[in-house]
Amino acid sequence: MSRTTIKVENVTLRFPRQRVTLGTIERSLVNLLKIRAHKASYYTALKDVSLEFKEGEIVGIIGKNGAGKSTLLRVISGIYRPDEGHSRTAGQLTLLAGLGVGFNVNLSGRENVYLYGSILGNSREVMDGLIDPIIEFSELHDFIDQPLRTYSSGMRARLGFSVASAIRPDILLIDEVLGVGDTEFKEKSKVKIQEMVDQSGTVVIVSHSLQLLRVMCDRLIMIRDGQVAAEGDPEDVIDVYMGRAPSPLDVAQEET
Amino acid sequence: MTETPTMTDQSVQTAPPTDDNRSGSAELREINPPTPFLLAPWLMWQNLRQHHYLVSNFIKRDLRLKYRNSVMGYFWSLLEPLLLAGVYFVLFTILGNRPERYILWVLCGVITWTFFNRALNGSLTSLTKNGGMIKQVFFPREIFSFTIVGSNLTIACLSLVITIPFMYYFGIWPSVYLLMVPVGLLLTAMLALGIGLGVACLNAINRDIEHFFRFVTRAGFFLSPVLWTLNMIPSSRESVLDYLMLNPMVVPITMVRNGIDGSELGIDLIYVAYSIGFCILSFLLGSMFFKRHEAEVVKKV
Repeated sequence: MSRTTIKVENVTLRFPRQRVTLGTIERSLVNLLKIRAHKASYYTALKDVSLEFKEGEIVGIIGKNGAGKSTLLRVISGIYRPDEGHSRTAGQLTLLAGLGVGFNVNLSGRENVYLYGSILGNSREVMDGLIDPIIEFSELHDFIDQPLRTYSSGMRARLGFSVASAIRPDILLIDEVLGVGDTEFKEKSKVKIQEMVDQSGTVVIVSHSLQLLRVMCDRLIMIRDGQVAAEGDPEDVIDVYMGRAPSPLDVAQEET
Repeated sequence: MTETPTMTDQSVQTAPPTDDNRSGSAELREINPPTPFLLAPWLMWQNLRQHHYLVSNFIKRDLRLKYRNSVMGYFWSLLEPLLLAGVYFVLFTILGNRPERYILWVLCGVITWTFFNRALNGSLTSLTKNGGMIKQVFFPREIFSFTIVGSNLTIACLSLVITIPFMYYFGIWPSVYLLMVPVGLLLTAMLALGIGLGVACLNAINRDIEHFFRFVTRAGFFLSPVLWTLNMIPSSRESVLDYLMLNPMVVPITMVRNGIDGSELGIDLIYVAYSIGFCILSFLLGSMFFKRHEAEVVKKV
């Protein structure tokens, strides 16, 4: 068996509940009076999650909105530190969540490529080597030295995708960022994504597209209310997700 | 599949997914583990070195954006303090007690204070302003503060070029005192970073902090020797000096000013030691506080 590249052990993550009217004087005074009740106001986004991912694996994560899929990827990538348990990774990791993080409309396309590339963790040498293929793939030759504010939103997305899809980390976490641009570019991206997935060490994909996950993934994980509700062969997990089979979580609960 | 060959070739070259190429990083480790409280400054330094390319890209971005789309470009960083200094020059001429080299003194004061003001306010809002990026990609969060201080330090250094013609005009030759300038700027940077990092966490929880600090820096403008210098204080008022010196920015500003003016610092050693100690300690404590609370605060941005 190949080695483990991501190990999530008994991870629990809690968020403090936030109110929209945070920080008014009245509320502060009220909170001072009942400080204990305020402190206890947490909601648990991930409950005792344990997962392991191996080198060469392509794993999909499914679940309803707000189930904790994105939160799980953020814990793995280091954005959130678990309140309990540990999340460990081996090798260079890249999380793709939202294309074009840090894009600035007043910088040129080329400057944005370098900036976004470095935000994703690439070195100068890597970016110098990737700049031409990125421009090539984005098909933005004539615009690349123009400020980004002159781009259409489709062009911006294309540029973002071209940078993001050029990197080849050991661990690639993809959070719903597939499929941008016009039909032609979409087709081109599909090939590119497949290529990127094939060439990265371990890939974890969060998506609502069961079709895509079914084709790509070796294994699926279903998250429900911050817990692993099902895990294993894609068809079996999709059955649970569609309500055609019971979740092992529910079965265990009924037995107790 | 074969229609997109260019990128494939490149990608294979840069990072082939073979086992032997990846074996260097085989060990499982936590990406952002809790850091021992006292080691935080050292770890920040290591993070900064590891991410130096990202830091330099952020600083380049800030500098490019500042003067982009303006005809004058870089000259604004010379013109801005000059215009400001011009206003105070006129003001103090009207008031009638303007020393001979006042324009040079106020230039140094304005440049140093603007640096401190922007570095501090930028740094303490760094977590709240970058919430989107913080949630989408991980890199050490202190980088936001360091880049803001770094880009403003660069602008301050560029701005100081404007003092050269005035030095020439007043017949001041570069002396050994000029060495005080980098020391003063460094102390300013450490103070801004220390307070900024520490307060950034609090500000993410409660935005009142940033409004309060905007007032603090505005008040500090008048209570620090920006428009005035220590030797402009009349001798009948020298008793206020003890209180004045509690402000840790008095020494750094005077260092920059007297360094360029080519005169000695003229401040008691005890005050100098206090100020240097204050700046270093605030940097150390601020970074420790930041590392301690960062993980919890990120959930709220």
